[in-house]
Amino acid sequence: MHEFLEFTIIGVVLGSAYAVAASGLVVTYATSGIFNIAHGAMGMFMAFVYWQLSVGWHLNTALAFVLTVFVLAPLLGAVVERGVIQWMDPNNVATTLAVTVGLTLLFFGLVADYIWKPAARSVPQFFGFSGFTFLGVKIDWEEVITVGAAVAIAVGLRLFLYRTRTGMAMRGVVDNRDLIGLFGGRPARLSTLSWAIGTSLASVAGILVAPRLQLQPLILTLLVIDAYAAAMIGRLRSLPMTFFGALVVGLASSYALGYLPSSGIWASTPIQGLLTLSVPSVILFIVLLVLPMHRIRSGAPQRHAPLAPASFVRSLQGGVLLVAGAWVAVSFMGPGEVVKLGIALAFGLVCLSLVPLTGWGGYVSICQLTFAGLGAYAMYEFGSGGSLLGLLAAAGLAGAVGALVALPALRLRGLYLALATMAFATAMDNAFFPWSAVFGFDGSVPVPRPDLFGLSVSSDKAFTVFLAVVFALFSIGILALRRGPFGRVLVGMKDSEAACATLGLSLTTTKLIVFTLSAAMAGVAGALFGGAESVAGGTDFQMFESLLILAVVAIGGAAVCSGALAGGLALGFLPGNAQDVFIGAGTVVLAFYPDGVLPLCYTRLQRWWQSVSAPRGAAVPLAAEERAGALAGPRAA
Amino acid sequence: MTAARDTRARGRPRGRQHLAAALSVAVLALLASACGSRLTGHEAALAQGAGSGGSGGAQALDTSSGNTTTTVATASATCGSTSSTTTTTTAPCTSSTGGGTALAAGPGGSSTSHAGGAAPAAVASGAAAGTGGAAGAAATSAGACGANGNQTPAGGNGGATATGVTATTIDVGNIASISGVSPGLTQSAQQATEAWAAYVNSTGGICGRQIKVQPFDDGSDSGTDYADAQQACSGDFAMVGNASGFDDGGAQAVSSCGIPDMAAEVSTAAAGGTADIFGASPGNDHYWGLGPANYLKSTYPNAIGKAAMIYLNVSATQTQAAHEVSAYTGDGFHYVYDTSTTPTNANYAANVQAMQSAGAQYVTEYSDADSAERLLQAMQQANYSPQVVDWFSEEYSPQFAQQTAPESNGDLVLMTATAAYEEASGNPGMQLMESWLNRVAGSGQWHQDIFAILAWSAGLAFEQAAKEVGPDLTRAALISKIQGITSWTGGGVTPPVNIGQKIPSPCFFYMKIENGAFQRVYPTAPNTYDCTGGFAQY
Repeated sequence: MHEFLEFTIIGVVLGSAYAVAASGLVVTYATSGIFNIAHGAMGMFMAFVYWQLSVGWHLNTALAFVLTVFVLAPLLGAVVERGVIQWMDPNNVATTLAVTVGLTLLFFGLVADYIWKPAARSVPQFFGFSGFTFLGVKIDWEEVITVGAAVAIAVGLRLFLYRTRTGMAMRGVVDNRDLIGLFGGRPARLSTLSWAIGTSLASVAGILVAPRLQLQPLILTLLVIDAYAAAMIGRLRSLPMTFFGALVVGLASSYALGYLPSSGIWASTPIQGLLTLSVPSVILFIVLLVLPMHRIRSGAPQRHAPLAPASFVRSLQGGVLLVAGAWVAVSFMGPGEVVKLGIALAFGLVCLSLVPLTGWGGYVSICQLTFAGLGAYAMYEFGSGGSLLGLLAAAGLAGAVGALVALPALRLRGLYLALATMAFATAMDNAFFPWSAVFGFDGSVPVPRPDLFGLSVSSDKAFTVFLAVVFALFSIGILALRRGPFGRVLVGMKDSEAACATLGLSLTTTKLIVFTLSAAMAGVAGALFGGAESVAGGTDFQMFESLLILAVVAIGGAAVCSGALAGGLALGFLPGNAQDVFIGAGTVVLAFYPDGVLPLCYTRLQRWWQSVSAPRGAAVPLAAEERAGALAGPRAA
Repeated sequence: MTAARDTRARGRPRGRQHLAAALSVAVLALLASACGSRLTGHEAALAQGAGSGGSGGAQALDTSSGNTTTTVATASATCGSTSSTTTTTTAPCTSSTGGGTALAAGPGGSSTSHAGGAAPAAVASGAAAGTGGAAGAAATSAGACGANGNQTPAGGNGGATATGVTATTIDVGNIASISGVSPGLTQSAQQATEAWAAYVNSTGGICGRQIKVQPFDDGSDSGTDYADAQQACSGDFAMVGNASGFDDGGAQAVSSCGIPDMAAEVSTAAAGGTADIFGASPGNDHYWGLGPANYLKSTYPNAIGKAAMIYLNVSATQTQAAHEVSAYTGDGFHYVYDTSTTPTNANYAANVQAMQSAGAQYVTEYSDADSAERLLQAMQQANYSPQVVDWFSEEYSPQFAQQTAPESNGDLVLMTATAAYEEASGNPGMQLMESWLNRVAGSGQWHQDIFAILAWSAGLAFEQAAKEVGPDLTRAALISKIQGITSWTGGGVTPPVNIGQKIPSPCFFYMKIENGAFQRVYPTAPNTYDCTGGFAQY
């Protein structure tokens, strides 16, 4: 009994921390329509600010807390909302997720690499380790504060959002922004206020958990991901249910750690990884599949027509140019740079797998690197000596797993699909990749480079050119798909699934096919990525890195193959300590140009060419994107 | 949640080498002769070169006291090797003279007893120690560059004898994990390598050639490590002082191009299995030292019957934890709690509660310092104080000790790969290293961790081998000389280790944390090791 009580208290305290984090998420989503993946990163950033004030500059603890939570955090939230969020279309789930992912990377990079240099830092607990004993169980005052804060926040938010004019107006902005404006409300200010409150809550969560977790950027950033399950149980709108969900997640995690056996088969990596270490992710996945989803902001008409796909001739020209460029580059680059170019092209292939799925279909996946990891494993297992069987196995294994993941997730769309893929990726990180049966006892294995029927591409230069060839072929292939009926259905589904269903198109089959295709491409990319790096290990295919993939693809342009190439080059050549900040800052561009940088350049280039080549005096028609864009604009203030 | 690989210095013996007692005595003499070499302008470098069949730079003996008992070579000689994959070796590794188990790591060479006159004696003993031919040849090669191996021979040093070598310079690459998920993880290794280069250059270099370090940052990524190694292959003569948990990437490049890699530590099995990669802390895949287990068994007999193991769920630490559990179980440990965790585990409270419920009295964790801190904090919150908390040398850092005080008071820290900074006042080798690191990196601008020590030691080993080769410096010749370094202490900064045959040291000592600082526990004498434990094989 005593032991059960201990684990229960541990679970309640953990759940309370999740509840504080999840409440801020729910408030932001319920009042702005945007799921803020950067919520944890912003809370982490404010935890560091709190440390700087209270420990670094020796400010009074209470004063530092008040300054951080009630002044600086709301200010940060307001700046983010005014500077970035207000320009985004909340119906464009892919873009909103990519931008908030970018903000995550930006804050993480600023803290980890620039503002606060790596060092051991800790935030002292409010009352040290003092506490009291309850039924034989020691309880710290810190734990009491955490639980109390969670309850107070849940109750307070509920009252604020449902019993005050401002709160109701904030909820109304999400439903109908223009109507609120007509009734004298100020939607812009209300959105800013919601982000200010959300960031303030994120800072509270960060400050409360920092004493337990130390001031580690990555851990504090990722903690909120465990709280997603709680937010989903509350369906992103009910704070009491969110609180309940947080307790469920906390208690389940605690009981699993405490009561599941740790010997025999239970000690194996997959079992422990799944049932002990991935409890929040497993709960998230189950909740997403089982609970009926709230109305989802997707299927609204796009604000502009998509770019027309390149013709076969144009795609062939592009492919030849790419291969020729790679050939010239490897001739002049040093050995280290050649390897980096190869890795960049391999990353580009992973990014390319997102083009049909995210760029054309509008489905956000945060597990592409997981599929790539499966491909690398398959190449190691079946590609001995460079056998092409390895590549086939990579495509087959990753594609099969992709289909398995897609099947239960077929009913999901937009944000919920993205979160389901994230949960899957996290579970794989804990249960599959660390398994010694996968990447060996050392955590990494040598991955052979393919042998093309006697034609060796084992040297770095030859392999890099080979990667360019594969990229070109894949691009030509998927562009051909895009130009065909399948591609048109895909784009139509992104525009309006309801309309497609009305026309009798099979959405299920199309969704399943594009998921499988995307996963298979990622699998092949992973096999070649392993070859480019010469080794592959579980740490190469973590979920957090998939966020980088999503961000760079979105920046480059998720609907164009060259965007994937640009993303790969960025990942391959940007210095490690600058990647997060540059990519994070780059996603801010998406708020203004949601299609990405390259499509914008193509459009402008096309227009310039038309103006140059048009007869004198003739009007130059707007490009389709510009026509639609001219009718839209920033959201109504 | 990309996890940094476990960069634990693999101070576990890989195997035991049979050495005749006579050879061990010769090695003993070499060690004595080399005692002064590091700090006396390399007077004994000749001796090291002459004794290339032996240990050269090992400083493990307190020859000033006349104690000529064993070093690790002797210990290895009497242990014998086994061929069984599951045999637990219980016979202690005794000295050839039947002396005590404690090994005195003597002064690194600055003691007056080694100054000046050490060189001639070293030469004599060195010549006697090695095989005649080898000693003579080495002497000739080393002598061509002067007594200290730093002068340009009269007829020139041959100029560009290999990739990265010119008449005036030797380019060496250094790969460390500086950026990435754990920023600055092994930066101290790169700083130590640069400090070593400055030190060597201040004494004239190697055969008239100055060392130039080309730094690389692998960003804690295997692919970048591979790219960096490929770059080094094309432009550098060798790599020195590498420290990365992702050296499996570089291993592929090294095996392709044959560049000598005298690393600070060898982290992965891939690197350990690459012929041209050596480590001041060699990797270990098949042997597990039982010395610490024996000590714990004798000191805490009740605690080991209720042991707990927590490890990060990344393959490397899983494997290490499994090997330790297996080895220690064979030595009498009984594990009542054995589980994995993630690097981002926010819920150590549950682990602590489970350990308490199981009655665990001995707790150890294979993880990074941050995870260890969180575990300690959770133990403090739960008022859980097992009899023994045992950390490994990755937690040997002032930051860890200060951050975790006072809950870490009394915690043991197992030291297997390096000497202790706290005992530098009695260790001239450590003093030399620290002085040059302060000079080059700046005082307070480098982390006092094991990576700095190992990189410095690796640099000294490279220097010795290169001087033994002489002016006609080639990659193959250097590798051959490194293979001959079989008992090495880097001037007293590490316990005796067999670099050439890639056998980690069987030696260890324990520190404990008290009020944010480290204090020696066992053996009690400063700068000493216990090298008697034997091995478990797997």
